[in-house]
Amino acid sequence: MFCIVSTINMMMEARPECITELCNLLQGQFPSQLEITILPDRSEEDDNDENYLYLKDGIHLGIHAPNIPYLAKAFRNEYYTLRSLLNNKTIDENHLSWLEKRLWDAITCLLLICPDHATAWSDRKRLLISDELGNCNAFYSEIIFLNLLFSQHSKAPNAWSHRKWTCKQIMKNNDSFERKHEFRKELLSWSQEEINTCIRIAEKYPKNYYAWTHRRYSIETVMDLGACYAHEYGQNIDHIIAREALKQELESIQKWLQTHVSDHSAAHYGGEILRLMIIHNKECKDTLSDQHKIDNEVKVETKHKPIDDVLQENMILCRDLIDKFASNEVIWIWRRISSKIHLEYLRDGLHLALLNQFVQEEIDDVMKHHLNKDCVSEKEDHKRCILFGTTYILWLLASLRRNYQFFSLENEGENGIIGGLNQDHEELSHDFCELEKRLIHSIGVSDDDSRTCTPASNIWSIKSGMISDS
Amino acid sequence: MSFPFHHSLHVQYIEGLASKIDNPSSYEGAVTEHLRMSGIYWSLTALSLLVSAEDADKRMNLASGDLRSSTEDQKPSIIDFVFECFDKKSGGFGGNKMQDGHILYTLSAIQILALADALEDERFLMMKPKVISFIKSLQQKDGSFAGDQWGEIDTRFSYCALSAISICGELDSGAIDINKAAEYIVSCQNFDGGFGCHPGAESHAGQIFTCVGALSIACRLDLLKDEELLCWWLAERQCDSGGLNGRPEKQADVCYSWWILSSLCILGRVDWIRGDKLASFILKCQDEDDGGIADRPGDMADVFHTFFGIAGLSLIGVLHEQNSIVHVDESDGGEKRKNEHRMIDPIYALPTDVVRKLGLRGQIAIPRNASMTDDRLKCYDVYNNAGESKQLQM
Repeated sequence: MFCIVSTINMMMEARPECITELCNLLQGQFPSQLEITILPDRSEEDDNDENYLYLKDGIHLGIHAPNIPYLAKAFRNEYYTLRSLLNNKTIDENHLSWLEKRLWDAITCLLLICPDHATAWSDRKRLLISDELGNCNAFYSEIIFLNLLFSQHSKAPNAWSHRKWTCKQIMKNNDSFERKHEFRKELLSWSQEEINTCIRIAEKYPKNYYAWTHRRYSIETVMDLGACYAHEYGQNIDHIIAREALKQELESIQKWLQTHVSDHSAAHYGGEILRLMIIHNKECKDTLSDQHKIDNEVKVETKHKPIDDVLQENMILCRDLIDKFASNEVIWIWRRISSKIHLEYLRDGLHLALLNQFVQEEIDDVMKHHLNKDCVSEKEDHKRCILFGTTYILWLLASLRRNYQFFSLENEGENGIIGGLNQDHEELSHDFCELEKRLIHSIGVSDDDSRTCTPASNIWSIKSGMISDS
Repeated sequence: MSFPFHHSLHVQYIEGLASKIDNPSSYEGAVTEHLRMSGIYWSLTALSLLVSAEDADKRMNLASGDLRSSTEDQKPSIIDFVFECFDKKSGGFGGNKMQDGHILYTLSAIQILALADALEDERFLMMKPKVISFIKSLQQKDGSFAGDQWGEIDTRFSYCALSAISICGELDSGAIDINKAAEYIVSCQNFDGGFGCHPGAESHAGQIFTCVGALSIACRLDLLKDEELLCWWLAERQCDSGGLNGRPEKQADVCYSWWILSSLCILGRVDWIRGDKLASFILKCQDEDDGGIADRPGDMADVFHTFFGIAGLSLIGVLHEQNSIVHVDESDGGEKRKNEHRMIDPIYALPTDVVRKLGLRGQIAIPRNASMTDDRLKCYDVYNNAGESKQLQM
């Protein structure tokens, strides 16, 4: 007991100035807009001898990189000392909350330098839970802190999982079926806020894996909780809200890809939205009316567009995008994604004829507009266009083949149905097979190759044959 | 123009890491303190591929107790450090001392113990039941794994759990539900054949390795949908520079030499990428003055990329072939070095002799009409996609 008291006394005198200073700088007029940066060492360039720890300018707070080793050590010492003290259960209540506050501050500082420190995040969660049972404010403040952290450190997986955990705590405190209307409003406002944050971070740090994954988590939560309510109460509103949210997300991606042509994360996310739309459509096919105007809090007026139209419109937009950006790999991948989802939708509806027609149209479009010898742009770009266009068709035919296998498994015993399928349902039609062979040869893969002559097994040869070595 | 492999420089670089990083003025040391366990695993394994086990042991002060001399200021060995990172509360290992247990660092700790041949150390034998119990507690109802008590789910953790349990020899003990784990992983397979961190997350080469590796350890490669499509995706990662990227239209990075190559190795299609072009890319990423390998040519070296670069070169085979285009420094004893280079195992990311000694389980796939060419995979179960799975005779 004596040891603890003396340690505490020691602690009371010894809090490092650098922690106090940083914590003070984090308070301020606009905590929700604050951004941090690690400022590089400029001493050589500017002839500047200045040695400083922090620099604050309006909403920008900088931490001087050369001093990070010193700061990290100070923060860690404070953190681990307090952590050990607090793990000792015989501390009396008077000291407890004071020690916890100091631990909290130490963690805050440490995370600004080591955003992926798992144990620090764990201790932070423990403090949040112990203090704020049932009180949402601490969790909302936590979101603000995470926004601050992400302004510099957008790639720390533990920071993102902490955000997800925080969101779940917010939901938990709101999830009361008695207060259903408020919850729905909260849910929408929460998801919009999260999505906006993801967009902001994705803009600043392109293809940020965690931001896009978190965006998907946000939209999925709206879907899941909406479905929960709809099921429980049999109301249309939640289905409509979910559908509207998905529609907005799809439009957002279609627009985003026009100005972010290399953003694979966006393309993948777009595919997930299409997928969710199809699932959602299946779930509530019979329960929705065409136009619906709801209560004042949630004004949702929608004209329900059938999923087929959505998919077809998406393909049209895809083709337009390719016309503009035919030498961009990701734009072709977006086309792969869109057409595969379209294929699977048709397959699941057993629309075999439409399946073949769709593939034929796609092939015709690409051959006419991009693999035509007459269409030319700048040399390097043109080669890439041919490469991507050709592999797109081959990829599509491979997808088709796999979908046929699905059919053959599902419809065993039935005879060959419609043009495009062979008798045994396993292979592509003769025409498609011939096209496949021709295209593979055109990109330099020979028949005699002892490996399977798929384009995938010869990517390098294809690329180096078509694109000059850098 | 071919670049030499700077064997001695890399050995020196790795040896010098500990004192460099522990130095209070080190920036890298300051911001990576929380993952020191993984850092040690990377440096140790990288070194183990370049020199013999005994040599690595001596240079890194790896093993414990009786191998120490009796000097007064003898630093604790790596094994001592590993045991100090054991978190009694959770039963797992932390990234450094005084940290909570986490599956990531638990795997790194166990890998280090395997390298040090210390899995039978009585200190570990005492901890082992708690460790197994910790890993078991992380498995969720759907078969997925959390990283720690706070419940973050990620396919990386599935790999860590399966690998750790396997190295501890507990795959058959029922500690974890292997089939459920495999089923969850497969639920994360995307339309493009790849895998992300959760179902529906973007395909990423690193996540793909963890999923393919986990399925391999579970011997459930049969669950993979569209093996060829996945390999297509992986093959498309090769850039004009010869290097590999992690996702479409990202920059090539040396660490993907490992994530992608090992996956292709397990799936029997290593020849779908151009090994020689990849090797030249990796060699260009070396620091020719101080040793170590960077993420791309011209950048600063670090231990993470040094490990994966060397591991990649090992997987391609260029560190082992006598007539390889890659040559080591002539001043160094030249060709002789190649005999010393140990091979890395693509499933466990440990030297093959360690994996064989422990008799670790795994599965590889061989495409139809192809045959096994890689010696290092001979000990594994073979899945040949014709619905059969058979054990190769050694």
